[in-house]
Amino acid sequence: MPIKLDPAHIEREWRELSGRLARLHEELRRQRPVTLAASPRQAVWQDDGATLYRYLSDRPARNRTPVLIVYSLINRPSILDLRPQRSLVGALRDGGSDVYLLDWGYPTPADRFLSLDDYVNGYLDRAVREICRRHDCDEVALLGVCQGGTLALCYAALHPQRVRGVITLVTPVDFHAGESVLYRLCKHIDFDRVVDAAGNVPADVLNAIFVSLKPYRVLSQRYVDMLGLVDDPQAMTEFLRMEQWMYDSPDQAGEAFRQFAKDCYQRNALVRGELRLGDHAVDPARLTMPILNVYASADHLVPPASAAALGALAPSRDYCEIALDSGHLGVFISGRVQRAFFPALIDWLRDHD
Amino acid sequence: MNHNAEAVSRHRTPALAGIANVLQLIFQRGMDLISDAGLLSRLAAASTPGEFEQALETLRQRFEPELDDIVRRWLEQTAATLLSWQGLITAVGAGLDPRANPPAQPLGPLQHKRRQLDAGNAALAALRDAQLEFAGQLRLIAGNAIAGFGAALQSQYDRELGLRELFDLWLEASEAAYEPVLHSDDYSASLGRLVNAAADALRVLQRVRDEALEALRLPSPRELAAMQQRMQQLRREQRAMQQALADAQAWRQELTELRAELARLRGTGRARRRRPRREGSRAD
Repeated sequence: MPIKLDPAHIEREWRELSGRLARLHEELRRQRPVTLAASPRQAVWQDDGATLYRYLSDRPARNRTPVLIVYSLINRPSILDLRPQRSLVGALRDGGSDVYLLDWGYPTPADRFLSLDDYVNGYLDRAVREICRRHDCDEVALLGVCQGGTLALCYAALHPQRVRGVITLVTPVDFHAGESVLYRLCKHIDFDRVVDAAGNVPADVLNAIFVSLKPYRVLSQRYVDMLGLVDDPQAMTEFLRMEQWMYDSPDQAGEAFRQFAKDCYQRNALVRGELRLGDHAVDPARLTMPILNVYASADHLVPPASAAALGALAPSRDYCEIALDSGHLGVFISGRVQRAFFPALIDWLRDHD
Repeated sequence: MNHNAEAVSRHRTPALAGIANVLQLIFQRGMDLISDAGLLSRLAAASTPGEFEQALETLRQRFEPELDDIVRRWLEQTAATLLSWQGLITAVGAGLDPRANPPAQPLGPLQHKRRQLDAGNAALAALRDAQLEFAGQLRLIAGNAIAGFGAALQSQYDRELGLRELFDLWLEASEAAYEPVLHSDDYSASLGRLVNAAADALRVLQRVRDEALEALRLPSPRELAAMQQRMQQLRREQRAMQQALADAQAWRQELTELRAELARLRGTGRARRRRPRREGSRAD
């Protein structure tokens, strides 16, 4: 049977697309620049490139335990606060918590030898101490996002006395579980050779790796679909915010990247109990504090099995998990998904205050 | 095409970062061919499975040189980035022709230069081999995408197709072809060899660059890296000292408070001890 292709129809479609393209061009010009990080905040502490932000609120926090968000070293935390209606930090703040965010900044060539130990036992520990000092308290609640969740778990295992509880959000724990495509891609790479050659790992290389997981959707379909948004300025703004976030990537400090890739992805040292940060062994048996583990059931970067492995790893008697019907990014940008778990986060923080 | 070539060239390590662009180029060239009016009318006019298969074969044949072109440009792009380094090797190894077969045993400092040149050429050849091997994976993806696209087209015979539908069919066929390859051991191994070869090539060329700069008494990235490492160590030591100082101050503060408390307690004790006497004296 012949397929049905009408040249006149295709020509009409092409003309319409060209018209949309011209309008899109105008709209893009009009909308530039878009703003991210909507919630008011104040930098309260700085240490090299790392900055601790406190999110401001009109009302005093109801919970006594401050929350510290630990974001991934890859990409920027602005996705947690793209706009007020989709803001994780805004939801936590309005839910009664005093919210802090540790922004790792953009590593420069001088930061090439920053190790995971420097990040976890250095910047993160000092940020926690600073918060405790400001609040005259001994503990904080940690909310780790993606790789930041792994770092938060390391911190909690190394300094349990300073951690009231941990929330992990789409966090890899067992790096070999669930057919992890990132593990598969890392498997045969010699990261010593790569980091020795590259120093800091350039953001565009990492971006290319993430893009290459879904190259046709990310590099083609997104922009074809964008033509459909041209008459909806609000949707276009959302698109541009997301676009800005996706390509606002810091370089990776070479040593920290080397260790994370080798120890976590290749050796799976965290679940084996063999991970060491500097002179300190990260002992998962010390993860006895309350833990809430939130992951996405259709996550292509952190397979659900990788995140859910925390349940078996941590001996905490107060362990809960929430599996969201979402992909990795849906957790941060989908209103439907956020309505499903923001209240649970707020309740958990209140109940574990 | 030029736009995409520029996009590839922006990356500092083109053999690695260029992969996503190469995949995108394959997709884009395929879409260009599919939306070509001549090919479209052949596909639309095909009334038997044989004619349809012939039209698809035409697509396959026209895609082949496009694919060759993409791979050729990718290799050229990498080579162009590394060419300046190769030039440097040649410059520092003055008197050695990089293209010539090794002459009789070079003498004096030329021995070292010869080794550098050989190592550089070997690393670049290994990188090229790894790229060609990886290109095999790309060809596999492209071939499977065309086959999948043909099957998808045939399943749509009862619908009128527009440009968007053709795009979606090509997208789905490309993804369906790519996903299993991405998850295969062959792809992972091939990617590993490519990345490792690119890193080796960079290292060899960086060593030559460092030596050249040091010979000119200019700071080399190697020296800068050593300095950065030392600086990082000093930062750690400084932080440890600051922490020790803060701890000591905290202890001191606590000690002061304890002393004050002790003094207060002693004072209270003395007062208590004195009080009965006073009371006693009053009672007296």
